[in-house]
Amino acid sequence: MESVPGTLAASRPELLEISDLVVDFDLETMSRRPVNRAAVVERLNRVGDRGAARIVEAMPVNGGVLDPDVVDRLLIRVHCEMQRLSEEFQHGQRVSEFLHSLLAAFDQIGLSQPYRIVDIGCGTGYVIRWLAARAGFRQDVELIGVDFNEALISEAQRLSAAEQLGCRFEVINAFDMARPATVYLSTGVLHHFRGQGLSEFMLQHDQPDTQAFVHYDFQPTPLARPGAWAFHYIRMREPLSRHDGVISARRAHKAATLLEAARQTSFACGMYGTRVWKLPIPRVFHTLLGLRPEAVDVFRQTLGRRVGRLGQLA
Amino acid sequence: MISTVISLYVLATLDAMFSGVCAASGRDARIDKRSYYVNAMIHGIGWGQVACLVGLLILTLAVYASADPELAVEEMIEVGKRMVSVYQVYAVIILLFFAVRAIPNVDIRSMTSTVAFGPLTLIRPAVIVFGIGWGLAPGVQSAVVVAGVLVAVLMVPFRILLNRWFDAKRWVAGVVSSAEPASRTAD
Repeated sequence: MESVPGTLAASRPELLEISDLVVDFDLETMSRRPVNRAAVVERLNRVGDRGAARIVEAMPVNGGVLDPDVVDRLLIRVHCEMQRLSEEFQHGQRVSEFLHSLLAAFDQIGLSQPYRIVDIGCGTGYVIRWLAARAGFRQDVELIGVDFNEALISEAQRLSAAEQLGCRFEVINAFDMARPATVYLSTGVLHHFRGQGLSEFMLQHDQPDTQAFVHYDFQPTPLARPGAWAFHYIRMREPLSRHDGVISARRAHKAATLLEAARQTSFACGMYGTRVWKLPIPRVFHTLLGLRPEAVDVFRQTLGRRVGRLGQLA
Repeated sequence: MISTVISLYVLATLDAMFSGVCAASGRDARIDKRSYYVNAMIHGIGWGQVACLVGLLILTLAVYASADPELAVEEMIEVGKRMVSVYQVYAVIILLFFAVRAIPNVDIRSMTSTVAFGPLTLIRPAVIVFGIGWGLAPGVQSAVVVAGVLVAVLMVPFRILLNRWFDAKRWVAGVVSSAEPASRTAD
């Protein structure tokens, strides 16, 4: 994702993720741009992240430009490691339960079908593939994953075909699709947008056919940094995974920042699942929900016993 | 003696089996990985048997190298009993959390990762060292101490070595598919 310097109060643009820097795309043509290794190293050194600079320095180059094939293979490995954490945190099941409530609400207010669920920045497509394999949605629920990175999408397609899953993946900007999503979904994407970039990202959801957005991201709590460090140290093998995992948790947006940006849209927005049950224990991820106002009351009913996790929608 | 040896063997095999799962995790991005993990467990157990044989060899050499072989065997049995007392607590805690994880609730299952399996994986090397240290604590002859240290040196990096072996055998994601290129079009 493109980092955009901006102005929202809680943004911390000085924290850089290596995976944001080692790939670059022309957003018009979606084509890959060459990335100069020395420039990335210099940028990381400038923000004082010597460890990250060393990781990039070790990457092979052709004429000073990072080898795109090596970078792609690395990113696929990193996404595979990230999938392991998602599996441990039951993320597929978590998303499935939430979407079932959401789609049930759409059914009850008489929304026209089919429903399209689009996962933005899907990487190797874990969430969409999990939903296709296990969620048990009706046939008329389309599951689509999109990402800028062609190698990640190729891997998602390969994995999906290997298990004969009913979903698809595309290299495209999610908001440029000919038919917008009924529900936009993402996991660990929001913190990549900084400042004004976050507002611009949220505003793009405001399309006539779009009924909701559900964005999962790290919740910034005092436990997030040591927790992310411990988990990425234990579970990850790639130095890039370990580095970016911790940085992701550190640069995660507070709920107030997310809501400030989301409430510029015409959706009723709120946070979901910030605490474990009713205990003062924060969840690793919190969820930014945007929902068309006419669906809010019904959604509260379809959530059932989980309605207590839903914050104020405004 | 037999029960101590069997207990240590079962615990070592369990550790090797879980080590196989740990070393294989994060390498395969399919959704249904049951057969993959069964395969990983079998490989873990297989290498665990090799480690057990090497451990047995270390102990045998220590017995032959000691000034009093009969005493060395007696001391090893006592050390083994004390090691079992430490490792069985660790194993029971892990198995209890697996029982908790069987509860079909996403929060409970994910919490077993955050509060149990993650930290328990992190402290595994410390538990191994503590178990052997606890076993040797009453004082034994130097050949038995050396054997204990060598067994620790064998067990602590077992998971790392298994990881390396999986790396070498290409149990690793990241091979870009030669399948069709990704779609670039909107629908």
